[in-house]
Amino acid sequence: MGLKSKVIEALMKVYDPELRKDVITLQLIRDLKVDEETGHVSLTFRPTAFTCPIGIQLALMIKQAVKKVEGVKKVDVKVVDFAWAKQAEEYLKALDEEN
Amino acid sequence: MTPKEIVIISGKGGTGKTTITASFVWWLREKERKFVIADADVDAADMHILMKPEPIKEEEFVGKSVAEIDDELCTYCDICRQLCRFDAIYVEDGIYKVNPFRCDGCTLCEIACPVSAIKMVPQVVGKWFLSRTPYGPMVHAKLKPGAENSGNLVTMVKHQARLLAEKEEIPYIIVDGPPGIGCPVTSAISGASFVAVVAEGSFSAIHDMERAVETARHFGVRHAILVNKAGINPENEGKIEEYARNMGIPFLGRVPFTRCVMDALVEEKIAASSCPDVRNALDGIFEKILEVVDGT
Repeated sequence: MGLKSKVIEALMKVYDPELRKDVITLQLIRDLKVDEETGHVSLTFRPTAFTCPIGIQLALMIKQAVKKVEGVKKVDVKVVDFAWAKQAEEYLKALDEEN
Repeated sequence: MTPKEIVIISGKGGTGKTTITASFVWWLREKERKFVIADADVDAADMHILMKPEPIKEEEFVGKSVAEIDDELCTYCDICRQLCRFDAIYVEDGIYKVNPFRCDGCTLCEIACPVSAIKMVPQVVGKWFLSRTPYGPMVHAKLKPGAENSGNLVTMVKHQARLLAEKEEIPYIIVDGPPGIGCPVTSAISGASFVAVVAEGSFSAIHDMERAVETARHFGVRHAILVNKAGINPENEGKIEEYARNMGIPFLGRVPFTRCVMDALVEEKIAASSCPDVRNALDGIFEKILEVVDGT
């Protein structure tokens, strides 16, 4: 199984608890790019609603889920169409500084 | 292309939101504009009465989970019943049972049960539909009686409408909003390009219109006010216009109260298509809405 398939499989385990479906089925992930050689993953996350109350948590869960995939070295998550996108991206950056 | 979302709300129920929304849909089609219809009033959906949708896709909507006790495993220790803060657990003929309407899904009983006799079972609380209508595609839903999570179901309806509009490059999403100012309304106006608040000349409608305006302001959504059933109380209707002026809110206009609208609804027809003076009033109102929305 290629790295991209593994990343998608990992993302399918990230659930939106309000709509009780995973972020892939809900089409919340866009522009997913996976460099099989460098292990660099980038994606765009758009919550279901502009003021989604759990948008930040979901962004973090998405990044953490992808980071855990074997072979992934770097993960860039961009958040769009979200009232607290800037705050989300600050938390996401902090995840990188964690390790 | 980002579709523009136009949401019609009111605060008070019964001011004519659905009548106005359906008229807007009819008017847009007459202007050969493309749009997706979204009925966000999932608690009391009735746009389908006027839109006559033919479902293409139907999906169950899963809401909160509810506790279920396996009597085979249960040792009748009574811990769960004593702990339950919602009095949802009761004993009938010596068997421990859960009242699904009282259960809040908090999982305390599941955690506390010493013999793991309790599990949380997701509940199907409604359905959402993607349908074809004579006016355009429509996303709508029905919540089961007594079910909760309508705010989440509204989010799903709007999310599916947006995905469809983006996929088919449709510029507008016309949302028939729910009454009140609770979570279904906040879900309905979240991320909207424009909110039209439909008021009427009654005291409760004026009070609830102000609360609806506060909600739209809280979420930073562009909004305006229109008066429906104009003529039932000119003095109060004047107060609404004055309120809009004082608050710096665009006043879209007044739609006359006519017997014709009642007859149209009784015959399941759209008011704007059947009642000329209503159509004329709405013509100006809808032009103003598009002016604002297209300008953004």
